[in-house]
Amino acid sequence: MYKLTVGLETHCELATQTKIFCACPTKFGAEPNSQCCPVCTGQPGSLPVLNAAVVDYAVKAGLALGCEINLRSVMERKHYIYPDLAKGYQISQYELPLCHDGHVTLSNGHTIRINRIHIEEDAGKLVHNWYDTQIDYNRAGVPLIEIVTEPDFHSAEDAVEYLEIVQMTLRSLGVARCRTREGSIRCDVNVSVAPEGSDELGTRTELKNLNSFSAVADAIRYEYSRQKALLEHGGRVVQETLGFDEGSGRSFPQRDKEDADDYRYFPEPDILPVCVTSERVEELRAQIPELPQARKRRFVEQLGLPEAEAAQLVRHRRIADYFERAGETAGDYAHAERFVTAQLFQLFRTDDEREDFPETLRGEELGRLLRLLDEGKINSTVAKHAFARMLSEGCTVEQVLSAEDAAGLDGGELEALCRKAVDDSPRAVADYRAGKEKALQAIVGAVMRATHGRADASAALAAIRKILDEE
Amino acid sequence: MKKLSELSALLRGREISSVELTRAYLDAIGEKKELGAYLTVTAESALEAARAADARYAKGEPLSAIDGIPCVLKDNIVTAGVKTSCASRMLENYVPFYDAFVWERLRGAGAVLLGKGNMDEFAMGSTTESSAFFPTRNPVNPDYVPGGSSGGVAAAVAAGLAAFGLGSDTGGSIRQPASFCGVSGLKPSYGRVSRYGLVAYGSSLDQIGPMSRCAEDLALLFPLLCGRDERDMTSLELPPRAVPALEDLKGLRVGVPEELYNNCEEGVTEAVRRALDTLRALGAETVEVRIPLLDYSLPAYYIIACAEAASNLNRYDGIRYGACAEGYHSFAQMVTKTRSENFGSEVKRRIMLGNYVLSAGYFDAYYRKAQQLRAALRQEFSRVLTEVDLLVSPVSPVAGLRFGAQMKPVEVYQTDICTVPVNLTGLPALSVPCGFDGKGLPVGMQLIGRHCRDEELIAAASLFERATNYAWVRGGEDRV
Amino acid sequence: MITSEDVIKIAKLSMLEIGEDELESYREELDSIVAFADTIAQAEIPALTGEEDFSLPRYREDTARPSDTQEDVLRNASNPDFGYFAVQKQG
Repeated sequence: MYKLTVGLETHCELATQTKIFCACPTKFGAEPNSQCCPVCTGQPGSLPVLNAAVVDYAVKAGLALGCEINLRSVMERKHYIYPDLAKGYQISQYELPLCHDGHVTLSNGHTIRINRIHIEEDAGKLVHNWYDTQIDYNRAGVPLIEIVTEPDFHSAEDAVEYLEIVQMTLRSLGVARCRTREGSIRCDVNVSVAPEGSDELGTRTELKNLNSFSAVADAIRYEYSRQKALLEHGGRVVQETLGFDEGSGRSFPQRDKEDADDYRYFPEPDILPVCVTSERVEELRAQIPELPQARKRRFVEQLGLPEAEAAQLVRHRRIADYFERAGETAGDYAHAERFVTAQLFQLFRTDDEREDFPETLRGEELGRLLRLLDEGKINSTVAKHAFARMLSEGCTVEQVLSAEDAAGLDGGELEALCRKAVDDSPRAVADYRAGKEKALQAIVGAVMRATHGRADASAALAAIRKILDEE
Repeated sequence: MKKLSELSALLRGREISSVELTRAYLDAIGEKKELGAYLTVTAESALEAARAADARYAKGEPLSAIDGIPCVLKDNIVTAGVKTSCASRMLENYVPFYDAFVWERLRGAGAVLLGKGNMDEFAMGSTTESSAFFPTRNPVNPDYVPGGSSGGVAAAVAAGLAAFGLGSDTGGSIRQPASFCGVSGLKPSYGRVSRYGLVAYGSSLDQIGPMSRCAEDLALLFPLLCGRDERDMTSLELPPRAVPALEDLKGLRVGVPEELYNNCEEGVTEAVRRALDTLRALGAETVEVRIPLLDYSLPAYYIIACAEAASNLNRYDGIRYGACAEGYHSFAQMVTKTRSENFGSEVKRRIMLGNYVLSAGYFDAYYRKAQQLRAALRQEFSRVLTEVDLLVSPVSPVAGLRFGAQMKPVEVYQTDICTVPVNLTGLPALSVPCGFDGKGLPVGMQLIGRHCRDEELIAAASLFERATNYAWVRGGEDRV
Repeated sequence: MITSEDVIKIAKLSMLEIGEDELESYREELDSIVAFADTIAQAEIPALTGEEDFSLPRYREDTARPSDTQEDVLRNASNPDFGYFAVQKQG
């Protein structure tokens, strides 16, 4: 039997307005090389100036992931020459990172130790064509945090859960977008396999440039099989860097761009050590909102939500906020959860859509709708349609349930509609007079259709009966 | 040739115009082309700037005391729209799209840019012979080098081809050429002048500084350059202070670090010791001091400077700017070819030494140890500079270096012994002419001050200059 | 003692090509320079008494400023390609 051991290095772009060392904007998707300046294109004579928000965001991330903060950390130059690296070195951290010794606890109780979190700059983007490689430095200088775990993972599932926890934690802090599609979260995986019971870890391989969490899981599973097969046949695993092709589901040797180069780290002379006061750390700590894992526990323990649904709700902070305000306004969290789970997640299906849940949608509106439903002023069909419109159009309860939809039809209106339906249904009336009670349902059905389901079915039935009995 | 304050008065009094002044310098530059002081001459834009200055003088609204006064900038200081080559084939056609902080300041004060001064390639050298284009000759004696790496600026100022200039100093590159050419130059305290726009060589050592006919001019120029620049994190929040006008040097304690007087040419030691006599005559007290770690400052300097240089030059790969090779089959080959074809041999040597001392297995023995030495040296200097107010030493153990002497690299490095400790410690230092040697070559005296006490240093040098007049004398003849 | 192999290795790290004919002269020079640098090995460093510099650095506010134009940024590019910098596969 063989044991799988995995360590993860996750790079997350910090969501600051400007790059880490210059005041260029960090917005995604601009024309190539239109968000650049002498600093991020490494022009001769340019100098880096550290963005205060980068330090703040990184400290918050570290605190939220249980880390200790080094009040004094050091930026260092990491040297290698490659087209996407404007200065021929990346400014990163090496001996003294900003954060160290954190942890993430998974739902199965496993604790993943975080060795360090450090800040660094991103490189530019390369576009490979058959005749040339194009380079866009818009991304060069975007701030990153690199989160390095100990080799504490023993399953692909654990790795994915960890990534989801990191993702939702950083998002809830507002410090990073962590969108795999944008590349604002990227993962490198270190995999090794050793005989069960062995004290030592096997030789590890590194898989880079995994663009989604499912790719991470697939890559881990593939590498595990590959290495296991090698070892079972008496072979040796070579320590190397691999890429992973999602299409074929296989890893392949990759000529690392940093190909066994000696990085020649030394402290960045242009920046001076990064210093944060303990007061500032406490100020930042106080700014940290309730984190998703804690919020989930509260939803389960105090609001009585089921585990799985609670877990889904806390993944995206705006949705969790929406739900909680809805439940509070309605005075019924369970009811709010059912609505949100049933409808909101169908309308907002993807990770991007859920994370981009509009801030203009206010949970109070759902809460008020739910109250109306509880009070019987509207029926559940109306409520469902209203909720759908509220979510897609951002309407308030009033707007959606306008005068004509009002809290039920008023008695006179209902009676008029029932009379009309009776007049329009001679067959059904005849059947009823002949003793068939069920025929009334057809007339009720007509009223329901005429009111687009707004009418209260039992009230309509009563009104119809009254009309027919009068005659 | 006149002091800046005299030129300023003439301009204000409208006795001369900036255009006349500029034309005179441009003519002189053309006449003395063989001096090789300039890499680029910006005649048209200079005259345009001069006309604008004259318009301001006509209205009685000059921007500053140096409005309309022509200057030269060392070619490693970035000037938008004007070729900035660092005397290297690598940047032969590089036209920056931004300005260095110091040029923004000077331009804002109305200075007229005559052109860019020749230098050792990427500021690595002490003779200006490693310029990829042509060497510069010492105007005092063309058989000798002007010094380096700011040799072009020093020669231009000495030969009357500019009223003042800006150089850069990493291990003595302002002070030594100032000494060799008989002009004055200041290397400010590290951090007082922004390095934004200075093509980096040794980032923790580099400073830009003024070079001028006389020390008094430094008092006018330094305030224009210093102060916080938010684009340079190492730039200090220290605005200029008034340079005191001294009558004498009573109460000044001058330290004489004996280690720096060893192994100097006789002509140099004599001139500097005579200068010490003058200082004493002016009222200063001199006392011998010892700084034992000075013996290690040269190797420590070269380790740190080359490490930072190798790092700073890693960006030259032919993609974003600079020369780009042809005839390659891979990215790595393109980069290697580009760098090999366009860097000179001194630059290559320093890049290789730098990468060697930073590489795995050597980092601790070299780079880390050198930085520890540096910290200890700083400590020693601090201690000494509580016992004395400033230090006086030769600028260079030699008064001059012959052209084409073909000295071995380490031999040349040895001549930096007096200047590199200053860069290692970040202290301010200047070179002011203090006499001539037997061959008529100028000798400079180095004054080293306390951290951020640049103004006091300039004040002492100005007083010395008033008492001795060497700025205006060339080996016995009048230079004016 | 710096050997020719050392020079080749350092040159590769520096992304420099030293021709056969220059190899020995570079080797000799580097050897003397390294020997010169080696002298610091003998230095005894006294204990440092000063405090470490904990001065708070002056960071930059996170406010965007207009970038330079694509045209300016590409002005000195060796191979501009429709708004991109480019490296030809074979040049």
